Amino acid sequence: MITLSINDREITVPQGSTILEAARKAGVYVPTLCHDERVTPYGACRLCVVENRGKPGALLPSCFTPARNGMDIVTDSETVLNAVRTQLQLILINHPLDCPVCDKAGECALQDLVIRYGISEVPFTVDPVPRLVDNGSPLIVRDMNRCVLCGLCVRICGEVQGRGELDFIHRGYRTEVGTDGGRPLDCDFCGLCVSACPVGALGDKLFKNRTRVWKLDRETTVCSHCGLGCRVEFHLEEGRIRRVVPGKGNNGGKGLLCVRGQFGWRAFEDTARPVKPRLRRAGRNGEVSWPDAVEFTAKRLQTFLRAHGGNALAVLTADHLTTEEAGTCGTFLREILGCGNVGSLQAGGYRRIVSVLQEESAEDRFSGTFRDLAEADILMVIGGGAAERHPVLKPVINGFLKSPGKELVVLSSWPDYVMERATLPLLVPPERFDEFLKETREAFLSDRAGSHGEIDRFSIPTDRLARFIILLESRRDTVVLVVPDLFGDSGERARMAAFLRDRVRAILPLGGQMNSRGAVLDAGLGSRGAVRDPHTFLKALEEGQIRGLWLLGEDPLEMLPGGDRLRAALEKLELIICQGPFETAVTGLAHVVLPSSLPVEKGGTVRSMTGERKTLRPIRPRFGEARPDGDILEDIERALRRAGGFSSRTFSEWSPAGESFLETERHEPAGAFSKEKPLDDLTVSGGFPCTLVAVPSLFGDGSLSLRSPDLRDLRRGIQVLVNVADFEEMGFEDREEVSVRTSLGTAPAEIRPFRGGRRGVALVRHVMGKPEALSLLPPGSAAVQAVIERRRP
Amino acid sequence: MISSVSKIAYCTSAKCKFRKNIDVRALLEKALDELGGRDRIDLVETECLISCYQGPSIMFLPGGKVFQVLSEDRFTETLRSFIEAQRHPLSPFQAEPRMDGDIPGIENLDFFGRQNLVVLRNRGHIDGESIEEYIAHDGYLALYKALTVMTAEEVIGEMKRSGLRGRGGAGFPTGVKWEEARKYRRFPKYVICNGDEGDPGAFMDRSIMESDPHAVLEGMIICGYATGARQGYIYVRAEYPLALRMLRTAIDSAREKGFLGRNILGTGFDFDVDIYPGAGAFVCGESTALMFSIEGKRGMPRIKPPRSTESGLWGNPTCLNNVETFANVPRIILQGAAWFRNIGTADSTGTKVFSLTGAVRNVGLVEVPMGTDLRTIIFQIGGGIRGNARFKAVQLGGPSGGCLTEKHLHLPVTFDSLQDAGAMMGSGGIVVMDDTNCMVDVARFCTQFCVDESCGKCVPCRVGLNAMLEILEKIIEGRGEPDDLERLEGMAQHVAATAHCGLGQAAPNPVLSTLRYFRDEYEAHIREKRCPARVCVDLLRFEVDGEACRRCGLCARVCPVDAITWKKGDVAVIDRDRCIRCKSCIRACRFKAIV
Repeated sequence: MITLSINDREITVPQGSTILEAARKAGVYVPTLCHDERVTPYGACRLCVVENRGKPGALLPSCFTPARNGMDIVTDSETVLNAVRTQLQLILINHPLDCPVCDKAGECALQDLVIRYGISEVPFTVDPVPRLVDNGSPLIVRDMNRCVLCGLCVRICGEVQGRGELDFIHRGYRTEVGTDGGRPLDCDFCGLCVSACPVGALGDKLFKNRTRVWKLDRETTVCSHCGLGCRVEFHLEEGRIRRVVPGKGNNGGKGLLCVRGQFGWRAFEDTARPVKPRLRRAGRNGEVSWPDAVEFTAKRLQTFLRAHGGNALAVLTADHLTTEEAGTCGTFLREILGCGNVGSLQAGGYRRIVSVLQEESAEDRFSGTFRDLAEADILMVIGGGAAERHPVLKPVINGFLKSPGKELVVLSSWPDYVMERATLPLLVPPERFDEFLKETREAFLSDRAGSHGEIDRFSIPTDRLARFIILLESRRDTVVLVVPDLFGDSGERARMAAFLRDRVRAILPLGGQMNSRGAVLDAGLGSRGAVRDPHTFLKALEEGQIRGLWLLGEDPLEMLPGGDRLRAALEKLELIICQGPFETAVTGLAHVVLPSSLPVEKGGTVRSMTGERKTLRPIRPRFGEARPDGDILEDIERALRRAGGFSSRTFSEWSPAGESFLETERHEPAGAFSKEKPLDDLTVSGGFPCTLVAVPSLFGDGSLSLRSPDLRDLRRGIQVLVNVADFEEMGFEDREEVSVRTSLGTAPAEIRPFRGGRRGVALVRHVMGKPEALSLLPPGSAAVQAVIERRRP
Repeated sequence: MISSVSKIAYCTSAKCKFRKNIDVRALLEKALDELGGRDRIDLVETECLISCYQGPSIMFLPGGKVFQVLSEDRFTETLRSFIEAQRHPLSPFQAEPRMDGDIPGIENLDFFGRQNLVVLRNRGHIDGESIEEYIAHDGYLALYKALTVMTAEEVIGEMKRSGLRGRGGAGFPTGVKWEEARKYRRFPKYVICNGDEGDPGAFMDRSIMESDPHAVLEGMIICGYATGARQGYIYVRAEYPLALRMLRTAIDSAREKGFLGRNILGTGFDFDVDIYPGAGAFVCGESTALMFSIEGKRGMPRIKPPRSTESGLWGNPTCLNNVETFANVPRIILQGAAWFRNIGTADSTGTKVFSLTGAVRNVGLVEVPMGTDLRTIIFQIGGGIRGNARFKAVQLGGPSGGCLTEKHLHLPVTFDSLQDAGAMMGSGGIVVMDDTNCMVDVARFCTQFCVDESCGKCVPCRVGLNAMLEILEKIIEGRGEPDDLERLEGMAQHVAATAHCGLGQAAPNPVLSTLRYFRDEYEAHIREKRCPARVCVDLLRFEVDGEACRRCGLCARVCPVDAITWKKGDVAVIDRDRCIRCKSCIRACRFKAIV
């Protein structure tokens, strides 16, 4: 510990603290402009200078000067104050005083400093250099004339997000922040740069010229775009959302958010939502009152259950239910409906992994939290797309890698963001990924070294494999992240994680939504029966084992491959109940449409994937007659109980960890590689034959993201990514229009090159909600044979 | 032919090559062919015979007599007369002007005689491209000694005892830095040689790299051994193509001979060196910015701590020294710390190489013991001021160095001796100014340089220097106001006190020192709207002062636009409408009659 004096106040701080940290601890104000605890100190603004009475005359930048024992620091001497005033005058030389039209006014660090230090004139003149104004990039506006070159955006983009989209260009007085070649932004749009900018140089485009910051009401709640549970602050003006910013103290005080959290809020403003319940009776479609709708639904259910039993019904829920609602739903399913087919489309992978972990009795290990993540020595990621599914993991993993000696092991079939940063990347061919996991496990169990011939199948360098085994054997503190495949079965990944349970500190399944962990672990909604994976689900639909569907915020037509086969199967169903906030493709087929509230319109408890219990708070009034899912379920339950015939039936077989009691044979998952018949004409087509893998979109694959016009813009079109060597060999051009063909369908796409992938593998992204894209893919498989053809002659 | 000449070395460094546009090699070959000495006399390409003011230079060996090739005429005859008769050569060779009778050896000339060559010992004597010649001059003997009979700690101990301090300008004790770098047990470690010599008028490092690249390499290898590094980088600015070529050749031949690479000299020690050409940013001479540049990032200084010895290149312990520092190392190891301490002063040991430029008669590289006074350097070695001008100021340490005056000439030059006077020794550039230099203009030039080269990171350097520049330009253009000096001084002090790196902190030195010693010149600009040195165009009236004028008419002859009319015996008249203010007449007039 170090003891020093700041403005004659004694303060003790840990070794390695800076003077600034000591001053803040002592409650002494020190002005800063380029300082942000999320990034390494930088020392650009020179406003934080202080004086050491031991060495008078010298000005120390306190933001990075280490505190030393016995220092006698003054922060308010005339020398210091003069230096700060001059510094502010210098900054103002180049800063337009356009505060009336600047969205930052009112929360601008420079404005506050100028007022605080009473700067009313600038006695120096320098010709201003006109700088870039960018109104053409998506979501972020840049006015570099207002930039004070504190470098926070550059640092946060590089250090925290690991992206490096922005950097300084030119030098000296002409320095400005920009992109290479001055092109528009083409990045993650995580918004960290906007949140870090102390002035109005970087702004939220959705907020530009909309209102003034002092008119805003602030409401804190949990982000509903994925399951990481980031705290977000909604800024509202008279009940209308104006913008979203990272909540204070989220993710361990880092204030992290992603493109969906910060810019995806216009999904909540979607006006094409069902306003009232709607029924389809005898060919008539019409809006009805809630009591009528509830009664009708109960009656239809009663008839259905009497005719076919509970297991002819499948219930799919998006995990936008609070834990309370999920509990209601679980009880309802068990005690009233007697339905064993429960699952999720959007969080299906997460639920599948959890249920396998439960089967393998590894559930005691998946209590992982953010802290486990930060403290572990080794982070092992099984499966691709961790950071694409949960973008805030990018900064989290970058933070993890900052400490020396950390290992990031990534096992994946495609090169994703985390694999690029891995200290030990293991890239397995997509069609052999499950096989690889299985054989690794078996090799461990049998203690037998696989012969070279066998290992060669996986095309992983032997030295990497050896290091992998050494790391596993080292018994260092390990946290395992299990990432589900977009459509394929993720059971093998979960089994690999479960196999490691005695060697690891924590297992964290990923791919969950806002309350997946609460729904599965607290409320017992799992993934079981005929809906445990997409392949089984489609088969059960087609073979008539499932005759009715209750969808809570889910739409198979948006979220599942299968195309026309799926639609035909859905059209055959006797009963479809659509309970959700949006009009989607499937509401057209529904017999009952029950409008439900969005997460921002209801309150309750949710549990993030990392285990923290969070409070969801309604931040704005309900839309139309939409009601929270829990209320709707309770009403229907009551109506059914009143109708009688169900309350007595309790399904003892049904337990959270139990398997389906569906009396059909268990379907084998489709396997890693699609068993659909291979393309016959691959060789004659002249296109580029490849293995096509569907991967998650950074801009969201969930129902909320699909409804945001801004995210929709970013994920416009289907994108196929091809290894740069293949790309060049085929003579493709970047962003060229191509068509992708599989034995199941053909779709137009935009082709882009990328580095790091295997040759002969193409990745397709932005597929959710796009029927042409989904029609290419087989349900329940990780990969499919495809051919990419030019559209231009 | 009776002659003891066995070798003729000719200088190929940039200055000699371009000075008179003479192809010296072709000339020599032709002459020797005619004289029939081609088979007996070797022609040796060498880099920098350090008497740049005389170039193109050739040197006869043995004996080391240096001459200047004045023209191609009568070259062969002169060469013959020298070789055959050892007679005083007349044109086209010309030796030191003061020479009479015997042809003096290099050591007898004022320019060379007072120098003490440690770092530059091999210049001219060896062909820098030949590792054999370097070895023949005790090359790599120090490395052999270090690797075979000394431990790393002993090497560091020797370096610490020698008192060698970093020649890049900051003067940090080299041995201490090496010890620091050794202390951190994180690998790989790196050794970096800073050859990004960016000060205008400084060419010490370039000459060392060009004339004796192996000395630098040897120093680096020894440093690698001492600190535990296995990889070295030499960062050389790309504007030094010859230095780059010499270093590349040196590295290749050192690898071939087993001084670089695996298992050096059979001792099991591995070390290799790569070259990284810099792209020409002045700030990349700052060590942390230099490392960012090698990493492929933008060259900008970062915060310290951590020091580079703890976390430098790619976050690993890195020992960075200047070219000249490394070139000193082999001598210290070979001849011992005690020998080295004997040269120079107690706090600044050894010699220092200066590049002496500006208004002095003898321009070139000067290596003198630390503590030699400025008068000796400028007036004895440098031969005083060129032409009939008078000494006015001397600027040390590049464009951010302070300007000193006549009354400081007695000061010894060491790391610490000039600080009170407001200057620093810096990396070794000495620019001498005579009374044709306007000190306000000098301050503006230096500030402009730093404005252009600022990386733009911190506010005081990025904006503050610009604010200073605007005030200086205002003064120079005759718009100066009385309170400008106070604002200029205040801003200069502010920038010096709050800038982030050495570039910004030192950038106000020229302004501060000229304000201190030449305030009257500033005042003349502001109050009288007059530039005493007649440099600032906007303050010149372009009129002929009838009293001073001697009616010689030279001004009228040099005027490129015929704006001056002169009749014999009359005072010239300048037509100010035609005048383009090029100052040709002012430069030509020996009586300072044009104001």
